[in-house]
Amino acid sequence: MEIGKYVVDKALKLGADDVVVTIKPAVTKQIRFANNEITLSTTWDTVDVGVFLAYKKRLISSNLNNPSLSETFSSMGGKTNLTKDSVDKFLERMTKIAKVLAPKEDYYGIANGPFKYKPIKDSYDKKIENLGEKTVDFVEDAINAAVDEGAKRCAGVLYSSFWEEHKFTSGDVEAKEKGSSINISLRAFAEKDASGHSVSVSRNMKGFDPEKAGREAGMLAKQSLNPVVGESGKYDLILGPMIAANLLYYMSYAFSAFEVDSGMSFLIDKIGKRVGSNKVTIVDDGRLENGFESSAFDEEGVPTQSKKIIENGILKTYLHNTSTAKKFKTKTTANAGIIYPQPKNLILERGDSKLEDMISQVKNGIYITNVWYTRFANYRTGDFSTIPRDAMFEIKNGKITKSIKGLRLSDNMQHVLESVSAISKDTRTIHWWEVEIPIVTGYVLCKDLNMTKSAK
Amino acid sequence: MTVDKDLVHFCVDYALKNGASYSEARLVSTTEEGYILKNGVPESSVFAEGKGIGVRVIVDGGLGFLAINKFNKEEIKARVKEIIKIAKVSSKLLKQPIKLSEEKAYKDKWEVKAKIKSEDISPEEKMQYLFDLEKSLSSIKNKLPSRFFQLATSNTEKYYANSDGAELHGKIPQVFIYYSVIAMENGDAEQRYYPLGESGGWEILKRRNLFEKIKEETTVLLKILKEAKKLPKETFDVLLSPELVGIAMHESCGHPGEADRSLGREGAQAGETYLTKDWLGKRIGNDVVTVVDDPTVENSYGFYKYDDEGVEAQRRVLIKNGLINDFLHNRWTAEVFNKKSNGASRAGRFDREPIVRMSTTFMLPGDFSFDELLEDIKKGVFIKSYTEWNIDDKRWNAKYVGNEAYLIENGQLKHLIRRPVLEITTQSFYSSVDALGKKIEFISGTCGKNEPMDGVPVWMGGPYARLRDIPIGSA
Repeated sequence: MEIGKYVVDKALKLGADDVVVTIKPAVTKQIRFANNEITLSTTWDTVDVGVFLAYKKRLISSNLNNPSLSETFSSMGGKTNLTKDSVDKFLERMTKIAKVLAPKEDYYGIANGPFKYKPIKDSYDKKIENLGEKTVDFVEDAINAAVDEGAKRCAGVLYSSFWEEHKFTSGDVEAKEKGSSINISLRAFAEKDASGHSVSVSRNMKGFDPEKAGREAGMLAKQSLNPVVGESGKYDLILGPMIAANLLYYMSYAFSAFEVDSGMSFLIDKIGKRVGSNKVTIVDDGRLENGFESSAFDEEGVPTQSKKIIENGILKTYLHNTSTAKKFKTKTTANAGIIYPQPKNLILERGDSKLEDMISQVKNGIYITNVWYTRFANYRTGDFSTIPRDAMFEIKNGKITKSIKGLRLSDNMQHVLESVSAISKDTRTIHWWEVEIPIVTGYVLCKDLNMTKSAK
Repeated sequence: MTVDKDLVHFCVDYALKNGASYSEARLVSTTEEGYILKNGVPESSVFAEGKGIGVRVIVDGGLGFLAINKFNKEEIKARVKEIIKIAKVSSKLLKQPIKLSEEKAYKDKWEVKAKIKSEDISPEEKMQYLFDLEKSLSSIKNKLPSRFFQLATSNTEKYYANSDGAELHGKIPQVFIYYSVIAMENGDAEQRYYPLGESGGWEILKRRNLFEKIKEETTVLLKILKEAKKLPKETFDVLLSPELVGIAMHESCGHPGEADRSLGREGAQAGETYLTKDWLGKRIGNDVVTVVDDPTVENSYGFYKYDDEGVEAQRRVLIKNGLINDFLHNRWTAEVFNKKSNGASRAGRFDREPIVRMSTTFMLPGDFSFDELLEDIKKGVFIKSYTEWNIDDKRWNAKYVGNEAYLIENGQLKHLIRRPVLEITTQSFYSSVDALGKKIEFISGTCGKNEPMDGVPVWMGGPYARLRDIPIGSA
């Protein structure tokens, strides 16, 4: 990986002020399935070499991924065969371009190291490197568990992945770490319009439970048999972990200093102000044990940390890198993205309730287990709608009365946070096709949210 | 740019020698440039080059896929062997072995030619285009807290070969531009965003006056905030612009018409569809409604001459005079439906599996001018642009929220109305259309599907469409 250091030194010689090089070899394997059958098995074997350069506030993000430049990379742990000549040509071209670009006047540089990094517990498991055909067995186990609970057919995906990340910056950063992950997403169908979805997400084998995911999805599918179209109106909503995670994921853009700076966030000018009920504490933790996106350092090499974004309903901070933090006259939260600060593992802090208690206290409500297609009518105000899919139940006077379908949650993100009246004690990590940032959440009870449906 | 054809053939042959009954390889080389201007300040520009191979194999009826960007034969060999092994193991869970429809094996070279090559335009000039967009808003800038502009140009070269003998070499340049603006007045806000993508070169931007368009649309946003009135929830006739018809065709005709969704293959991701094979020939809408998906529309953002399984691109008629007429197929779904593929297999990148995707999905035009459509409406709503939209995962319940929209009274456009919400089922939508404009227009988009997500460029469109008796009201 000495090539990373060479790129930094050479770019500095060519006049660059800041340089960040990230080399990430990764192997990911996937088993996709549908109708209880495996539809595809995939292997990705790739190396990404990202290069960021700043020249007098003129910024370029690029890569050295083209094998015509990089010749060959050896596998994991490896050296590259990038020749000095090809790197020189690449950097000469990039710095030449940088010199004619317009400056980003509000760019304030990258972090200065060196830093010390503490490894993160449970974030690498060698067993994941050698699973071989066992991944097929995991899929079978999950499907069988769902079928045992009453599902007729299952669709989903299993991923196993391992990688290395090497980072070199002109801020005296030299960092590396290894990581692994395994996760399954399974949707079980019992009958027409009766389905349930669950996931198991882990950085190691110990925390991975495909059978449990299968059982939960199968159970929800069976419980939701014969749904009828629900009625629009205001309801108390119990959000299952999948929908709670979806809403937290889709609102997380508003936490990024980039979006605050863009004028797009619904949280602009609200630091220190109430943006949620006092039950709501949202934490971003880059060092979460077994956290799906945990890593010891962020994109510019700053050691990651845990920070409260919202504490008991009060907005405490946006997410920053070094440059946005300087602009906002604060300290980096170690959430680089050099361009776009973003969460690592978002956590809705647990409460003291449980699903059964929530159901028993709802007079007129709906329990939603999953949604998709969350879209904003207005990012600045947070007006959005999202569509339940999978099991959804009407609750009357503390009891689930029937399985329902055909409704849409049409409301406002800040209003959702303000409406939270209880959070469960049990939490879990959600990460799947619709939720691309890992979210740790439990069940959430919200008062008086707006459900709509097709008028014709 | 060069592609190593020998390496592609090596992958195809090596897989066959090692137990695959079918193999294909696709080498994709892409160069991209990207520019962003955010509230008048440039963000980091992007200069990216990527090259990689996607290899697909069928072994004992099981399907395997490898994506690799290391061009070392020894490493490729090991990985090909590995996917052959796992495809074989996974075939044990199959009730029906995976088989592809038999298709003609084309050997061809094709190219979309840029009139003005984007790579000949300097980075300064590209960035200047975004500064000029910003400048066109200078007189109202203080009421626009968010102004975000993005420009991307790319050149993609692809070489594809399969064990049936197909050899296809394609080159396609593309340009994409996007703007998003938020207007504020007394704490109230409205947003407008507009993507434009085409296959071709810098001439795409020369052909259009986006500076006027963004100024007009942003001025309207401020008018909406000042003047738009709430619409009571009542029944109105609705006149939809090509922009609204376009998004509806993509969401409620194109997606449900993807045969792999109908077969449940996307069940845990983009979902399924209300359409089953039994729907073929059944009525979903009025006679005036015919919807096609066509990758051959010249310069379209989703243009291709051959799909990513080597099948020739062709127009598919999904709804014909109100009847469900066809699905979008790749070679696997075609085989299951006992027919030939209609060439809808696409992958947006080398490292994505080619699956059934749309290209340009649009409603065919009718005979009416805009004024003729308007004059026959006593009490109605004209929706010109939209902001939020979504649809359930069976493609049955859709929602489109109007951005620029007007009340219609006795054939006349009246005042602006605020965020009318059209929340409607697919069948009601197509059954309510009674007349169509004579001109079609397209909008651009990036369609999301596949696991991992694979955004592919698409167009969608249609004529002005009149829908009768629709319950609608402001949010």
